[in-house]
Amino acid sequence: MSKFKKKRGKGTPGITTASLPDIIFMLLFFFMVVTSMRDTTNLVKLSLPSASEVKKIENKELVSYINIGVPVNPELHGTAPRIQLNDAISGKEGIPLFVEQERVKKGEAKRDKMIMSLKADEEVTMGIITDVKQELRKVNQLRINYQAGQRTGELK
Amino acid sequence: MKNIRLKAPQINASSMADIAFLLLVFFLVTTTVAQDKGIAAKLPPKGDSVETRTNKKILDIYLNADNQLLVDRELMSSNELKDFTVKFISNPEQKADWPATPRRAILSLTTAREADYQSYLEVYNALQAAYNQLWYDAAIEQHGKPFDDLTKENKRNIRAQIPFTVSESEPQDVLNN
Repeated sequence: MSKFKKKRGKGTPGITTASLPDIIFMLLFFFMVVTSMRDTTNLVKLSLPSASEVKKIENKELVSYINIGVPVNPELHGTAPRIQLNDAISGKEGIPLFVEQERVKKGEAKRDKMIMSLKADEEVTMGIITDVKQELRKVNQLRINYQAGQRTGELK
Repeated sequence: MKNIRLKAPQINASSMADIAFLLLVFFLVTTTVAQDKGIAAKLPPKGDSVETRTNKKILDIYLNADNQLLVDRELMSSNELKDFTVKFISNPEQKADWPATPRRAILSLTTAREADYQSYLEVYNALQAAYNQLWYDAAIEQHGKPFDDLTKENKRNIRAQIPFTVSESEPQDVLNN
């Protein structure tokens, strides 16, 4: 009987942490594979205009972007200003579908508050901007934002 | 019954540093620092035409294909536009062809398709600046502090008194004129 009693008195064994780094590495690799970077590569040249009355967008989750500018790769997309939606150059016909996809991504509650941010190169003409705005109106995406840098000082 | 007191197990904490570093690296990689700044605007709903009621006074702003700004058919630089807009809306001299109250003012902005985006944004920026100043002045007058420090409700009140109404003509309208 005394045999069993002795064993109980030894205390709890220590936890080995030797495999902890391996677990963390597995987690790291998991996240590396699963996460996709939100930032898409710019297929158009963007040098944003500047303005004095710019405001920071408080809720970044509500924002989707449309890039407008001259394509970086003229052999593929030509030299006229084009619209970039997600990772592809598109025509203005692609905007309604794009808006719908973005709305689905935002989820039920935030759908109505979505802000479409127009990242347009300062060199583009208003024609393409107007077209984009008309398309957005058609699908009732009315909250927009003209992306611009902060300007300090007076205009020339 | 001698060794009943249990020894607390030791946890090896030497790998904590590694874990922390991994997390740090992970967040460093995933976070984006790009700041979203810009001028917010609201488009009119589709098929919404400008109310041309008799008591509304319209300031006609036209940006032509050569990036020239015409305000009430007179050439103006975008620097002057802000002050002119403030004067038009507040109408201190009570001119008859200017709005009697800020609510009755409509800014009609027409842009040629060939105009530059930068010029357009300068014009829009000037209009926004004019309203920011009007709101600021109203806030000082009514509450004694700047507009940005007001509560949400007070801000909304002031915006209702001096609504930012820019009507942008559709391109077809421009062609017809």
